[in-house]
Amino acid sequence: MDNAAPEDKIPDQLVRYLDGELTGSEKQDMEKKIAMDTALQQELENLQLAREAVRRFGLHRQVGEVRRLMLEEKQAPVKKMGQTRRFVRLSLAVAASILVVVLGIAGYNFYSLSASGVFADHYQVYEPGTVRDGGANETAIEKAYREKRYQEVTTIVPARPVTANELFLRGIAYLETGQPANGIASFQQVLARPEAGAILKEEAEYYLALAYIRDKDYDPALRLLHRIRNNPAHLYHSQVSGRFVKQVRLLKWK
Amino acid sequence: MEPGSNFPDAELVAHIRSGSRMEEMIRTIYRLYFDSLSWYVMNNSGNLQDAEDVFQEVVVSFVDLVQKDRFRGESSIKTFLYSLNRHTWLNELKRRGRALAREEKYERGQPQSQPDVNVVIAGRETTNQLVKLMDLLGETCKKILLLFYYENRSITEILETLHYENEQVVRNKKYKCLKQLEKMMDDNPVIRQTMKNLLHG
Repeated sequence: MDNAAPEDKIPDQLVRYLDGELTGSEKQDMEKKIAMDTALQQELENLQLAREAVRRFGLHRQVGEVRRLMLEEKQAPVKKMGQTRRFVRLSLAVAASILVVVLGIAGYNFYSLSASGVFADHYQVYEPGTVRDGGANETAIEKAYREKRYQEVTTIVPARPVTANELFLRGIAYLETGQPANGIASFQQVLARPEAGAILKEEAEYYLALAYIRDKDYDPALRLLHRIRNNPAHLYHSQVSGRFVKQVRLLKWK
Repeated sequence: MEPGSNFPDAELVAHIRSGSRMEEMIRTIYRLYFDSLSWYVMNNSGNLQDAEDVFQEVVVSFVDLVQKDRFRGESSIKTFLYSLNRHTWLNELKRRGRALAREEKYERGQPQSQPDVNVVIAGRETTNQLVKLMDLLGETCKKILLLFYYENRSITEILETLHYENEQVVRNKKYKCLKQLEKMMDDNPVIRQTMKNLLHG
């Protein structure tokens, strides 16, 4: 397209005009051409309609994804973590009070702080939702995960591209088998997938933060934890307490 | 506090208009309004699937209107969605040849204080045709066009996501995909006219 004759460049330039990429004299020239050429005006309208179709389709898809996820939420059983969360929050509040009062205990806690300890405090293995159709449409990775065959989850290579959900389960399986670096790569891939839903991405963010902690890479862990803590609507907002963030900061300076 | 339990209209509209926290906003709309709007459909010859399909179209239309700055805010979001929901369902019933006479009479008596909803609703059938059309484009074209025109990613970002050789290759591919879609729409006057209505109101 770069070596085309000037008249052949017009369709390409029209798309660039549509995309708002023309500036200055190029833009003015194009606007003059459009004003004088009804065929060009028609072509521009056709391109605008095509762009509108893409936007409408994208919006339909995004709303459809939310619809699907909310339906799953309604049908999924209550996660075990819901009850544990309250217990963990209560325990943290009590522990934080003791630490403030007794400096010696605080010092002891600082020196005994470890990445594996902080990870273990905040990690719980992810429990997938109940299989609604008796497992008929369950993939090999999903089945292996549900049956807790975590090593197998990390090695199964399906004949077609891995889905975002499978990547997420693989990430958890890597954490379960003591491979946080591989877990990090899996969760990062989930977050990079345009088709991954909002809930899956929020799950991936939290477990990615834990994987970074386990891998002793505290800066990206802190970035993620801050992001979760600053978003009250985040699925794991209540999991990321101020104390949790402080522990990771302390680990960084140790 | 559960997200969305007390969400001011102005804040919801502002976020939708800017495109920020979009999934959260869509979820909020679902939490706040789905139950009451679906009740209308299910109590007027529809089932749960109908209610879900209609509500999805209503949310799409509402978000589109807000982003095009055509939701004037003269009524509350709740009132506006109710109106969109009713119209969408009535149109669907008409399409199926099952009009609700009392509803039609009610609608004719209503003042037109917001955009004419008939030009902002795509309708289930047209939406299905649009989905099929986009599927015919193929996964690669669909992905590139969505990344650029829906997610507003730059050519550089698309290059990093899809691993093409260089930016010019991405540009060329995008151009070809857009032209292909343009041609397909030319052959589908219903979709073309619907997009025209949605674009120009």
